Amino acid sequence: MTVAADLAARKEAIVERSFATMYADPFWRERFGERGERYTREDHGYHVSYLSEAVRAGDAAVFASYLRWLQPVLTSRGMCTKHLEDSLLAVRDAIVAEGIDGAEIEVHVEAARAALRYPHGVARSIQEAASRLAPVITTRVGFERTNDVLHLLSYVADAIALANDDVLVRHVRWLADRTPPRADGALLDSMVEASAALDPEVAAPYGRLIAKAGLAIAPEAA
Amino acid sequence: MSAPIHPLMSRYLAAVLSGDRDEALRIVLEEGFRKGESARVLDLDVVAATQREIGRLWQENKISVADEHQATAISQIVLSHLYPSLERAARVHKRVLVACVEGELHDMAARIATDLLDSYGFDTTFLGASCPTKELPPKIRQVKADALALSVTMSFHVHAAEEAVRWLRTELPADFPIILGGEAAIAIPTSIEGAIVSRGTAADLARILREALDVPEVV
Repeated sequence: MTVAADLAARKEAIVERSFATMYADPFWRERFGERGERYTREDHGYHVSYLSEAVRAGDAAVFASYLRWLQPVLTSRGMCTKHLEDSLLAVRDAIVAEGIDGAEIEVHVEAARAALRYPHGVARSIQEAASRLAPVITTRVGFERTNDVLHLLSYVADAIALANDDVLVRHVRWLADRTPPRADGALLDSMVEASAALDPEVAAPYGRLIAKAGLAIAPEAA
Repeated sequence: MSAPIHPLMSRYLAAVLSGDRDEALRIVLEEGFRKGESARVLDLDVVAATQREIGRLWQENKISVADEHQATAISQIVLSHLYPSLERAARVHKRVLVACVEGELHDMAARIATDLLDSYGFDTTFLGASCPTKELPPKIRQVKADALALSVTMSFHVHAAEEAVRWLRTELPADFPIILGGEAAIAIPTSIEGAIVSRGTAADLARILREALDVPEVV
């Protein structure tokens, strides 16, 4: 059987396995609820279908253009690009765990990850800076919060790409409403302080957005 | 592919999003024609371009699925009104059957392609969304089609399209042209056996058909 046929034949198993891996982390159910579970299964099914078509066509543009299409669909509905990448990697790992040759799909997965990078501008600069900013921020707020911080930085880039501040504000509110709170003034302050490492034309919109999110969770705003 | 935005597009978009059929028709049929636009340009640069923008707005969660369906329903009406005004090239006396592959529900692109093929001189028969593959050969015989164009807009229907081609090849004469086109054509290997892949617009489809059916280009 070819890799493409393997993927199509074992789609259900790949979906269930990748879903189980992701949902072992309670974050997904807490953040996106039952609706999120349904969509995760559905989206993972689409990931596998498109990946299978891409492998058959031998064309890396197929899977990449699907993800580029999906990115604004999900980032305008509560997820960040990093979450989409997490789900993509969960599917990739499940394919390998199902014993399907991973070498042939790797080129498509890598093309897709590259496609999730914004082509240019402030959003792109923030995506590129995220891995440098995150350790600076977690030094202050604790390394156990690395994932939250990476996701927040991804929301910042998405909010700028979509020109929609609410994309970030909603997620910060959700984090702040956890018990204990997972976002607070100190975390946002550390994010702003880290922006010293950014070019001024990137730091300015970045700082403005985080300040806006800060206002949304300030005690007097409640 | 980003064509310059047609000056009527933003108001046409507003009309279809507000559900105003009369206004949408008026913008295209009265203003468009008064400005001296051809029906081909109004089809492609106003209606088709707006439908693409509608898709983008849904992507960014700015409109709902219901908004999208409302806009599409209005654009279908506008297209039917534009159809009689489409410029007609000299007839090439070849009939093309246009259908969406089984499972494919998006028929707007196939419909626009059909109208334009007509405009380029072909006789056409259009079967709308998702046509059961087994129904195609009898239809081809009934309307005496000279070629089949199958539309695939979502790439997860590409596999179904290839299966359809494989089966159709056992039913149709070896030299009967089958062309696969649509948004998802990018996912179809150009080397696919038994069919020609069109990755361009209706004009590209017409060029492939002329070549396959050995008819001269007429303007």
